[in-house]
Amino acid sequence: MTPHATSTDPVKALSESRADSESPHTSDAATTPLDGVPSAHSLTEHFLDRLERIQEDAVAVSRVLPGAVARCVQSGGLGEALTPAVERALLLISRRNPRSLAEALTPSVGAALRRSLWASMFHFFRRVNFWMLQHVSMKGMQWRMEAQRSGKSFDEVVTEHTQDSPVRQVFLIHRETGLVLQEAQSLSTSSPQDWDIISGMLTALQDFIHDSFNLNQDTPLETIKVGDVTVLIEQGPYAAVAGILDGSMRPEYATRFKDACSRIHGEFSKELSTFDGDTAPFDTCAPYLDSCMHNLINPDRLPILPQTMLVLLLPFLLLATWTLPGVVDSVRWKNYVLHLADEPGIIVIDHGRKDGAHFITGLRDPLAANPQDLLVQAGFTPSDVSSHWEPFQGLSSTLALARARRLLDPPDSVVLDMRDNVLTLEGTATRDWIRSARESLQRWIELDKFNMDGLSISNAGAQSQWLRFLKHIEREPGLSVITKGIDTDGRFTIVGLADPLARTPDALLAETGLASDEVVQQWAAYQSPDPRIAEKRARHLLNPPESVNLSVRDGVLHLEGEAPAPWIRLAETLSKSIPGVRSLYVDHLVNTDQRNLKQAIGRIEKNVFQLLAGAPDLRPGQADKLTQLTKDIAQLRRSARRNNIDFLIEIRGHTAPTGATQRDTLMAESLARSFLELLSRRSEDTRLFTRRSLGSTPPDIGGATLDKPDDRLVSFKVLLLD
Amino acid sequence: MTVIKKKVCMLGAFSVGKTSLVRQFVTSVFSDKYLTTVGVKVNKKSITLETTDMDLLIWDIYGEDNLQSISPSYLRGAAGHLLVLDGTRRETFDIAVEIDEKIERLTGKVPIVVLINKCDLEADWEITSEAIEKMEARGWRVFCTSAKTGQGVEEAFKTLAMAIY
Ligand SMILES: Nc1nc2c(ncn2[C@@H]2O[C@H](COP(=O)(O)OP(=O)(O)O)[C@@H](O)[C@H]2O)c(=O)[nH]1
Ligand SMILES: [Mg+2]
Repeated sequence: MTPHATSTDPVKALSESRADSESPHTSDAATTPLDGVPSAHSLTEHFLDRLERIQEDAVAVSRVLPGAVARCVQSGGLGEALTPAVERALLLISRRNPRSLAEALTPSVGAALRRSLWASMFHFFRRVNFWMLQHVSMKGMQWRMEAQRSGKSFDEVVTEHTQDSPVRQVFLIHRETGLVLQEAQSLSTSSPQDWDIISGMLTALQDFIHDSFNLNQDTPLETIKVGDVTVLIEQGPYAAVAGILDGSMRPEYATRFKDACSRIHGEFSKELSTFDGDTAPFDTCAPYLDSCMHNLINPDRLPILPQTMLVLLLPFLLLATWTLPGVVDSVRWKNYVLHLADEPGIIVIDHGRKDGAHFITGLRDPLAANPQDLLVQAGFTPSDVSSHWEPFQGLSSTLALARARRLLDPPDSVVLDMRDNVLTLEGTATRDWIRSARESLQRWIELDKFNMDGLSISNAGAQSQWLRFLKHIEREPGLSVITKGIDTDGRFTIVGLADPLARTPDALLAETGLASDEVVQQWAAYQSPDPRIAEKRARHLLNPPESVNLSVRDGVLHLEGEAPAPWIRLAETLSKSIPGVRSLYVDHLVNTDQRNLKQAIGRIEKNVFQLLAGAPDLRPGQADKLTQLTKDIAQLRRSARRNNIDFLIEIRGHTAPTGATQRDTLMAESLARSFLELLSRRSEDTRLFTRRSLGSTPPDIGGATLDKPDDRLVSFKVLLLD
Repeated sequence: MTVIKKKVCMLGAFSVGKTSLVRQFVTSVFSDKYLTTVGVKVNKKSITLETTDMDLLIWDIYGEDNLQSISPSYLRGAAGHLLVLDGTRRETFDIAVEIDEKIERLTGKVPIVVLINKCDLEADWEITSEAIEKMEARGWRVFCTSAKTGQGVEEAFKTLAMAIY
């Protein structure tokens, strides 16, 4: 705000503001009063100009005003600044035009008034009952005796017997994080649970329900009931007050919780909006939470005394005995007349009371029921009633149409007509109306005297499409209906669970041809245990190689064919998390890495090498065989690693017998060493090998002997380690 | 001594070991079945830092779809996140990057600690040290952990606690 706004002289303020503004208007500064005495003409000019600018300013300010107010609201202080002005404005309105104010307030005030009227009547009844209970009942006498016996005051005894504190625990929960800011519990409860966790789960559960059914975030979830325990939640903008109740909800609690919640928000608004994990500032709000747990008179513990009913109803009873006979008689008469009007073939024209007696006149088809009989049934004596009935005949006239109309009460969409003595009905109506019309007509006239072929069911097409849609959903695995019905706009509604792997309900809907705006759908995602879906999910999750055949039967996931070891391990882990799959059957699944491992071992162990007698080298002609051996060893290493298996290759030395066992052993040992040496020269990893001397025992391989004196052999054995 | 309470979230691809890590870190009295029914399970662990005690409320999420189940209401109000990768599946790194971007879009930047889990499975290990450098270059604090042996778990959670204190 500029300082000019506070200036007391408006003309001066305007001229000053103009003098220091930098708009083009300043160029005609020669006409301002500052330049000495201006002419009358220039003065007029000046004010016209000024007026125009004030209007322009107003337009400009109006553009920025909403933004400016919004900013003030954010930074605070606007409320305080405006309060006096608003108060004054309200005062003025209420003086000048109280009606408009009243009209604005009536809707909310009216409802509140009704509620409080009802509540105060109820309150009055309860107080009378309570008083009677203490002073004119057996219970009251017992309490008095108890008070005398125990030495307590009568009031104390009454309190003990009639009040309780069913609110066990109360929490203040931070809405955004689900953290407990403060808690209070009644003295009698012990709590082993961790309320932080429960509060977090409660918050997550609320989110889950809100997300699943697309509820607005501000729709409060007021109570959750589990067995004998009720959780009551009162949501505020930043925090919720939640309480655990023994037993069920009563309106008094909601009021208390609401009250506590709004008080806490009033007093702790700053702490709540800036909460960063430190709960210490909320220690002082404990009294508000405690207030939710104060004792309450429990109406369930106060029997409603017959005496109370009697006292309160006495005036009504007296009034009733005074007027009852007349009332009973007139109710009976009314029922009789209504009964006659329902009777086919009878039309009541007039009825009432004349000279203290009932009279009735009307038309009657000779085939219709006898009104006199009905009179007796209704409890009247025929001689006390003056009845006058004119006969009328059959279906031959417009009278018949009128009767039909009266009998059937058709909707506007149905046209009634008489053609060749046949009553015809045409148009559309609901299924129920058509059924009841057919039943009435069948009771009233013969079958060939009416024709309803021209009637069709309104909206029958949509109805059958809807039924088809429901059947499709029922047949579709992975879709499950929770509720279905028709809402007040006549649209079909359906709420259910849908597995993301199932066909979408929209696709099914499209197949039935039912327009999608006729159906309100809410689907929450879930994982269906249906075997067909479980199979899909398994295929999706495991992504099996082409060589594997996958199927789910009776809750068992069957994997057949062949696959590498890492994939099999992954499949074993992942299959545990598929709903609808209890166990895994892999007896017909070949582990290809295992197979490769066995084959490599077989090839390696078939080898026998001949060594030179004198030097650590092979006899000539075995180079290719050695190359093949190193390839097989490489293959063995690969497969073993993929199977998570460790191994050692034992190199065994064998020599032709020399006569001394000791010598044979040493000789064979040095053969194995020589061969290992050979391998290490070919840069094999020597840690994979171990040596063993078999002395003069020949290799356990077909055709290998130690018959010739210079036979020097090595063979192999693969040892698998766990 | 005052107690500070903080909400943190477990994030990461399916089956990387989020639930197992929480189980390793927390002795829980509540069953894991809430994970599949409500989709979320909340656990609590009290940690002693230098000057204060902190209660960590650890939200664990269930979902096989990696990204969709991370909703704004799950992340709302979290002071930090534990982002979990599986050291034997390289693709979980890409998913982690996607999740990181999604968090920043939904709730803005908060401290994140990255756990490369299953480090006991050396034979199938697929993450190289260059990859780890790349993660550190993103500003992540990276730990190699195992929910099976407990290696690195305590340190990772404590580091996050210090970062959000
Ligand atoms: N070897 C090993 N397995 C692990 C480790 N952590 C989790 N797992 C396994 O990985 C699978 C998925 O773990 P889970 O905690 O359910 O993962 P989530 O989906 O991220 O919660 C389970 O079978 C665990 O046993 C680990 O550190 N080492
Ligand atoms: Mg999990």
